[in-house]
Amino acid sequence: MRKVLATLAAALMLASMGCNTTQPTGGGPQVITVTASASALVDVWQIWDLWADTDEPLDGVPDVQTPFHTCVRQVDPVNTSVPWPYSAEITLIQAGTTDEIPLRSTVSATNPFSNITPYDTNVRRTVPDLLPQVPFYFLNGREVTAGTRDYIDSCTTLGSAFEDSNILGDPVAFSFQVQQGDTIVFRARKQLVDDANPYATLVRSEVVLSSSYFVDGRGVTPSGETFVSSDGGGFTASVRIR
Amino acid sequence: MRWLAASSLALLVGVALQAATTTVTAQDPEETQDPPSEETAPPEVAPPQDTAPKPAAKDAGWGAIFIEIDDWIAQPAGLEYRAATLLHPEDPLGTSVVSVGQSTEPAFYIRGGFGLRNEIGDIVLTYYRHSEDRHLEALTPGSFLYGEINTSGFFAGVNLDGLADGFAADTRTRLRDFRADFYRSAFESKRTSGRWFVGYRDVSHDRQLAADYFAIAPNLPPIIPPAVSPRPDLEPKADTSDVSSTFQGRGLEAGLDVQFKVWRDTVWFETGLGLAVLRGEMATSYTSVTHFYGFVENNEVVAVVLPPYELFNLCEIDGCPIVDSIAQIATPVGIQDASQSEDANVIETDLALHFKFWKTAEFVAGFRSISYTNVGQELRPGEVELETSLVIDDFGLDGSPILRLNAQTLERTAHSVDYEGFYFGLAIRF
Repeated sequence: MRKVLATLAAALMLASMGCNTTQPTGGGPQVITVTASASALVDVWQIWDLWADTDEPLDGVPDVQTPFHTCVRQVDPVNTSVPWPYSAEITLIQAGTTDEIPLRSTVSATNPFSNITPYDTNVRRTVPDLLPQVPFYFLNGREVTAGTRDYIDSCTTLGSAFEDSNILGDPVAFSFQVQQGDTIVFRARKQLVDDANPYATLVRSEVVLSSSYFVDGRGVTPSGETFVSSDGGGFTASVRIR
Repeated sequence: MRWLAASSLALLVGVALQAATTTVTAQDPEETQDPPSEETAPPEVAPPQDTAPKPAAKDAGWGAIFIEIDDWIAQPAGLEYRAATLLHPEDPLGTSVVSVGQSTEPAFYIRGGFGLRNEIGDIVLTYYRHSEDRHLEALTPGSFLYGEINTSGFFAGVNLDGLADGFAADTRTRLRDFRADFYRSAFESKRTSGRWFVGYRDVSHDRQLAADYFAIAPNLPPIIPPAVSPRPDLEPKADTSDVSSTFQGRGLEAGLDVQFKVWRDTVWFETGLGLAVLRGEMATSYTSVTHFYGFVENNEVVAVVLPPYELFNLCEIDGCPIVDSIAQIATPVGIQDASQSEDANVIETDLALHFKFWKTAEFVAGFRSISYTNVGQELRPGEVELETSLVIDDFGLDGSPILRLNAQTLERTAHSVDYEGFYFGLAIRF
């Protein structure tokens, strides 16, 4: 009899516990990468390095590269990447929560616009050397845009005023680890043209600031705006990790 | 206190019925005597009234006392707590409804009573209480897929499209059911016996659905320095809603229990059907708060800022004289209907297997279903409008300026609820 009562008591206790199921959480950590870039209409330049023949007597072979260049602007500007300062902030909304956790920001920094979009790194084409004016030779002819560091260093005297490109302190891209269900929010704002010297000297049109997002190397489409073109404008985009 | 009052009332009803039935019994002496067939029946076949529940012993004052405690794993059905709609990202016709489901919450179903002398019948008290709180949330920051179906709809959603990128809904359901019944034998045979019952039933039922609709990642144009000082008050606040009702009803009930003997006096089935007609009061309540961005000048809302809120950008270029005049304005609406007369009814059915494993103890296992019709109600505003004055004269607890809404029409939706599930328990008879 005691066994029967004990069994019934145990059954009652088990039943009173009811049903409680918990769904397993899946997915491991993933790496999200955020990049930003700016584009604008800029001039195209052909550049030659100036070399000199310093042998005595001249042997017709340039042997010393001078710090000087010859730059020739082309007629038609092109749309390409340009360096442009912007402020940025990235925050994280962890899965199952509604609060934003700041990860990194330049908003409160001494210079909020310390982020610089990448320079154009393309050499559009090589161009033939110019006829020498002995003992000077115009060598290594190439065609680049005004958005290149090459143009800035070769054809302007403002090279030292241009900062290296970076996004929130990282050189090219800002990457960090997230979990499935997390959401990252990226906010960015262009610096006003009037305040963006010497960068403003490079462009011939409104600068478009845009952003791209990759999860484990795969491009993803975020919610919200990913670019802005108005002067001093900003955008906010968010990516939810699936 | 209410339960005690109902118990006292049941006792009075029982005593009154006892007196009434005693008079009837005196007019029919045969009913108080044992049938001759029972006296000559084989000892291994006991009459049904010796099994469950045990009737009062003859001339023994108060009859048998019994108590039965069941653990009823009941799941409410039909509550229809609709928290939001879910838009299909690709199919415009594929919108679905997200409801807060209910679980199988166990609760005790308690019965107790005593027999009246001379086999007049039994007085049985029954008490059942079910309480269930559920939470459901879905957060998809940046993906505005959830329709704010419980808000007033007035400027709902951060983009004024009635959509949120997440919601959290909480439901609260309370049921209390008390019965006081008089049971009496209706018929009996060698294998089957039946008892009818009449009595009093008191039911209270509360339901509440509260929902918050978020704009977690609204992707608004950023208001960040150095162009503009941060404005935390412009971060989108959650739209909220709260729909609740309370029913308190009482009335008479009647029904029939039938027992089918399976094996000697040890195992039998028992099934029952009861119907109660209730009359009571229904109190309903509805509140909703939505938000929108507006230009405020001299404490008056002069214009609505529309999505995609590009003004947040433009004003910064101009040195931002405008952003300071933008405020997030709350638009609440609340309706209370404190007392409304309502009819309701209850249908209760059950089927149980009884196993008598000791002289005075039984194991009971079965399935029970109780349907409470029209014990819940949702009250909502049909159309809402801003008050004619756009002057802000009130502020919320969080400092938000408030513009009140008026409900032009009301809509009511009646709700019923079924509690059904398996149960098992112990019955002790003295």
